[in-house]
Amino acid sequence: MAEIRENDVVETKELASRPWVDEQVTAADVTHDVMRPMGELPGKLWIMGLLLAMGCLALMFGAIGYQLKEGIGILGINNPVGWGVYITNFVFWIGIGHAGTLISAVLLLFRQRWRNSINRTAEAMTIFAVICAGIFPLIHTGRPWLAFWLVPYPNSRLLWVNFRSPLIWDVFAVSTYLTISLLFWYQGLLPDMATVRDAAKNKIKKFVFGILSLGWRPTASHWEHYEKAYWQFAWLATPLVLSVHSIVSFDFAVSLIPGWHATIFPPYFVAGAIFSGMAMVVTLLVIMRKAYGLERYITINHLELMNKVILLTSLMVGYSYAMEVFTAWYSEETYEQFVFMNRLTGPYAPTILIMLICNIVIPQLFWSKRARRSLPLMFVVAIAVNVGMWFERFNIIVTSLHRDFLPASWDMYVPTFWDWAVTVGSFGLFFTLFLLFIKFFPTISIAETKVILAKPFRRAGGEGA
Amino acid sequence: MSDKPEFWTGLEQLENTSAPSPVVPAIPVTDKPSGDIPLFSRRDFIKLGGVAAVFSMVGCMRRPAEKIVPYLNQPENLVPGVANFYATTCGECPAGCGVIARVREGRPVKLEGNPAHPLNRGRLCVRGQASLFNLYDPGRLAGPARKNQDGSWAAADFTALDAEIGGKLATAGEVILLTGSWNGPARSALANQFLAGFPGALHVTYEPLTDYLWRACIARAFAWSSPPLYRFDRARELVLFGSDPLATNDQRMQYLRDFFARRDPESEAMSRVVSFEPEYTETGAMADQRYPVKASALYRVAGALARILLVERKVSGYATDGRITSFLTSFQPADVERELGLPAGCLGELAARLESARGECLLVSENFANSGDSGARLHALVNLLNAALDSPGNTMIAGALRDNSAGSGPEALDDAIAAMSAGRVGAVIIAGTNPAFTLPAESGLAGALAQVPLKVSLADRIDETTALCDYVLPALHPAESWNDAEPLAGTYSLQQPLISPIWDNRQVEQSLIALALAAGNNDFAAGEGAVEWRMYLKQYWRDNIYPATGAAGDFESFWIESLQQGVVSLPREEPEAANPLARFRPEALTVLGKPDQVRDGIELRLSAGSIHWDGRSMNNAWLLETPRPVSRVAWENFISLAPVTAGELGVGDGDVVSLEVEGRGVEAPVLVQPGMAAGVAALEVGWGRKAAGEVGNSRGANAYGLTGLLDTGLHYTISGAVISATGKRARLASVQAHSSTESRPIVFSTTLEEFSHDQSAGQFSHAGHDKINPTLEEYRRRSIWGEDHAYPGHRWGMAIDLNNCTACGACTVACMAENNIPVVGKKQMLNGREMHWIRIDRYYSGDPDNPQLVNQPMLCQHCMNAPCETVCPVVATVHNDEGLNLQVYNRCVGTRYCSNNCPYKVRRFNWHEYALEAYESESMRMTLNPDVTVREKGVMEKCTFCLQRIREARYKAKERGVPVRDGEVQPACVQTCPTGALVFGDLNDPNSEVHKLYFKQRGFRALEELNVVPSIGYLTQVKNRQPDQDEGGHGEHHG
Repeated sequence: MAEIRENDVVETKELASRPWVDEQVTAADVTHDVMRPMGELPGKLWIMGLLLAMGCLALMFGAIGYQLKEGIGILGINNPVGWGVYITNFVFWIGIGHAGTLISAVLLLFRQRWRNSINRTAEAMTIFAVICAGIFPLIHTGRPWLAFWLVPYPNSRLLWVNFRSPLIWDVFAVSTYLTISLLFWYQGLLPDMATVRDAAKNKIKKFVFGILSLGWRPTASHWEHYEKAYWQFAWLATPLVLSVHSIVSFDFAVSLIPGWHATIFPPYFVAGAIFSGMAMVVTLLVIMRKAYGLERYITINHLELMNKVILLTSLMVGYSYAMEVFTAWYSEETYEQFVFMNRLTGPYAPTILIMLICNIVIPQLFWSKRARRSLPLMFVVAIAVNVGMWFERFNIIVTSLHRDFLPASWDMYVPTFWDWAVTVGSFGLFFTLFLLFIKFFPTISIAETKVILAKPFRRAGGEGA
Repeated sequence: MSDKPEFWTGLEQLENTSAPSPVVPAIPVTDKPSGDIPLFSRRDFIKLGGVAAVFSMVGCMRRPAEKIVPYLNQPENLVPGVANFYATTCGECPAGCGVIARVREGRPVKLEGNPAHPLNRGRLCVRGQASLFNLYDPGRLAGPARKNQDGSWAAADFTALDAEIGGKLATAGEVILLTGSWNGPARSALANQFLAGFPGALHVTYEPLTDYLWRACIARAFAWSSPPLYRFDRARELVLFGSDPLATNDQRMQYLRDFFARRDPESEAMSRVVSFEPEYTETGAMADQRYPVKASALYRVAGALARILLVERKVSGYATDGRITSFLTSFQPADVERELGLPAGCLGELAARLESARGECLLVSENFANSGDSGARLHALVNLLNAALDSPGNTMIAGALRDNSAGSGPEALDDAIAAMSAGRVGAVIIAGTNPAFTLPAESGLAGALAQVPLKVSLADRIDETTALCDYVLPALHPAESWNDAEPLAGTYSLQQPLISPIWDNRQVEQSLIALALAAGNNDFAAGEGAVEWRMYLKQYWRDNIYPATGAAGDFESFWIESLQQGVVSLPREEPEAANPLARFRPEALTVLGKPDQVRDGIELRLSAGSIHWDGRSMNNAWLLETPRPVSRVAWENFISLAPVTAGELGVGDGDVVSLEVEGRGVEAPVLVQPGMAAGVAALEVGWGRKAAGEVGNSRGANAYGLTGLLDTGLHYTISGAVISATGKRARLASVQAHSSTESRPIVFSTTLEEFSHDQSAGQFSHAGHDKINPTLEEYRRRSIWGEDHAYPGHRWGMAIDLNNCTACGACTVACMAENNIPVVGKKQMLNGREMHWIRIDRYYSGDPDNPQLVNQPMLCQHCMNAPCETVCPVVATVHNDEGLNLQVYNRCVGTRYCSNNCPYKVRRFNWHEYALEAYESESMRMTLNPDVTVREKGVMEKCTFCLQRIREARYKAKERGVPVRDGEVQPACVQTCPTGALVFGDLNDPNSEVHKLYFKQRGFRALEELNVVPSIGYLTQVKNRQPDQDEGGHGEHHG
């Protein structure tokens, strides 16, 4: 995070005072603009999007059902390559989540006021991404109906888990991450949901948001407790930005497979996670601000800052790639060297080419301020980064396994229709959740945005009293 | 047909229905039981009920209803849960190896070699192991049948058919009994007695893989008709000419043992083996030096050697025989070497060594495919060489094998076909042979059979020959039969039933008795019915074998003891006064005229291997799924081409080509096989069956169909083949895509000379990894567990000698039978999902056109610092204090992390419900070993070192009060390994065999530098060859 501040050091003063939301916006505008989509009938685009997403989700349910019946053999994985697209998706989605936590918690601690109008969406993205991620470790097991055995709980079989296994660490990391993110997000929603409750004309809506807002009243004592708890959650969530993906990287780093067994993995994975997560936030926000007319709240300045983070993390990821290759060469470890030669020249070389172009080459566009502020360009770059990061994980997982120690057991992994069905389906799940969220919940933190308005009561007259 | 109960109406229906069930109450009967299924005796009923109870316990279904039905009356000698062992004889091939069968609750679950049997001495080959599958093969017929007018088959019963066939036989006139090898004194007597009832009757035997030409050449050269027995253990110098005696020979179990007895580099005189061969054979892979040579040119190599030895070096008295020396004038060694691409001077060097090893050398040319003119020349010259080098009497023993040549071979068969075509034959009875498949269409067999009014098949299924017959009286499996065999002259082996007939079938011998009686031969009448074959056999033994053995005591106790031992050897007759093979007759050479012209084009070489042999058990899924040696391909055959030949033809791996020779043709995929002779295409016989059964039908191409049929007999080496690409592609089920070790410390190979200076020659580790001083203390120091993992009692381990592995596959199939390993099929295998717990990795090194090869049996290494154990989240794989890495199936949730983290990739995952699919039919479920859990889908599994056997030995030791003895525990793979390459035991015991091998200087651990400390030690391969010939350099393996 220090890097972000240094990068922006010239602007620091400005950042604190600068109005991050359009100066013309008043508090009433915020409430109105944010709640407007919730009161309207859904637009055509939204319905089509939801149908498409739910269609993909249905495909995933079908595929998982078929897999439960037939066994995981319907996938392309085989003897040397025990993990494939499923675990790729797991790492990918967990990585996506990290940007949300970075924005909502870390930037809060660093008092970055620009986070206030985007943290809600980013944090929602985190939760949905973690849900998507959580599905994969479950369904990738041979007997998913017994996957609860990975949870250490007192049981009549007197069996315990193996705390040496990184997969157990994953269980803790991911479940902690989901819990903290969910609570943090929900707490932030409380004042806004109370606002919705108070403004609701529909009885059902009033009732539902009445329950959801847990009796929130904008009293000083509520606000006092709210602020304390919010900061505490931020402190809890901040280390998770570093720890969760570090632990996910341990799945690989702790093994002895060449290409997996690398000490650089934890920071490399964390940087990659923020990289891909920021790209996903940009992707989502570019669409959402346009569709919901929120340009005054999510300004081009916000997007530019995130693009800077993307550029920075791209460089960190690129450094990691270079260091991996350097370590392999410098170690004189034949297995390690072979893995990198095989990645570059072997049968999966096209995937590493995609990875390098998308993650290292394309983000360099963001050195140009014009590129950072161009909506179409940043959208293209963000999509490219997401594709590239998916292939990065695919590369790490598959190319290390398919040619490991004994050449006699080398083989190829080709994903089947079902691999892709579940992959596409996880995007379906993500977008289903996301579309439902932006329709039924305030997409921008009303309360927090009001705090950073330049002239909150410009037109208000006696209304505020 | 309508008034008969319908059994099955056509082949398709027969193949699609699951096997009719024996009357077992606990198993749902899928087929409507037909009226033809006989009632079981009460005892059988109860036995099978017990079997059914065991089925429900072994968990073939996911959530089985557990019904344990106690015996109402306990059968004699049967304790539930305790195995009975019976000595019997393997019937899978004519060799007659001894078997000890493990029988649980009335069903055989595992076959092992009989240690008392002189041929196989406790070992069993891959086909012997797999023959258990044939017993339960659902493709077997469930009862006798009669062919309808329209070609369909209708079920019948034995009584009616006996009368019907017997009536026709009585008036048939000339009768031909056409069988496979008919080795065994009592059954020979029976055949003779049967034939005696029919004037002019003839017994013709035919085995497609027997080298009849070689036998004829032996007879011609030495005036001696029985085949000699090779003594590889006495041969210091061994030269093979397109011969593969360790793979397809009837005596191969003895040959394997003898061959490897001379391959210990630490012994005084390690043998030196040179092979000239057109295809890369299993034996050739074991040779110290192999030279790829076209089959049609092999005789020129033998001729050049003979010329150097006899003409130039004047070895032996034959050197002065003008008839011999003049025959040899055309073989100029320098020309031969140049024209065949052999290194200059290699033949002279070989000849010098052979001369210095007179009486201790052996040259072998026996192989069914060494046929035709070039084959006859080769055999004649090799016989001459052997005679000149004093092999007869030393390394070739006459009289050790019984002479069965009368009425056998392609000539006898050809005569029989001619007689049938001429309409002279009234009836043919066919048993144990399938000439309609193994002969080419031009043989005229089908047309000849059509001329015969009565054709009875005694096959166990409607195979290709049975389809041409009128009746089928299905045979029993050897495990259901009484019989005897004579594997070596004077050694008699008994076969006894291990289970009641599973289906309504009858033994071949009993059918012959019944038919003869029905035809009016009252010799076979006993009381109201026919003589019982079992009583006939016993009577024969009482009259003939018992007196000859000179056994003390009465016959009954002799009989019981013989049954218990399984084998009886007559007292050794006095050594032959005169060696019948002593004198080579020059006429054997002079009868050969000018050599046949070799046509241009590709030379087709039909080959056979140890796993599929002649193709008789093509419905055996255990065999089908076992990758073949050298090629490592399963489930089909293919055309092997040398890289240079494939390049010339512009084809590569998996290209389907059409091969045309003499107007016959097949289509098959190509496998580019390094080490093949240039210009040769090899194709394995036995494939392309049309009527093997549901599993084996239409797999691969029928190479027998390409057999040449000339005046000089059947030709399996045919020149002038044309290969053209079809543009189609096929994926071969190869278990190994990469053949180089990439200079990794996985397998090591060195030469005898280097080894004699440095016992750890050839071994290396990468920079930064010191070679570990192999002691248990050192390993303990390197343990990641500190004192947590002490091994206070036993510490099980294995030593594997890379010198001795031929990749025959016996270990793999033994493991499948022992550990209930399911067959997954070609499709799953193509996706790298075979379930074998022990596999053979094959690495090439040296010259890419003629590489050396190392076979490495690879199984769970039971590492001390096991990478799989630490990463399992649910502790499903754990270490025990005997050094075993255990897999707890019930606890496994299937993350496959253990498999990812295994450097040896020996863990096997149940991607689908493999066990349910493989054991879908009731009869197949009877193969299941009740001591081993059947694994469900989503569970990881792997080698357990046959934990169930370790426990059994431990229980016995506990009862005995004496610790487990060395060698008492033998996993299935170790037990059966025909060469003794695998040794198992307690590493903690400094006197154990495995301890000595594991800690040898020659020993190493695969990927030792990873410090996983495997419990399996390998021994470096040592080749008896000059280091300078080792192109790749030791330790360098580039394929």
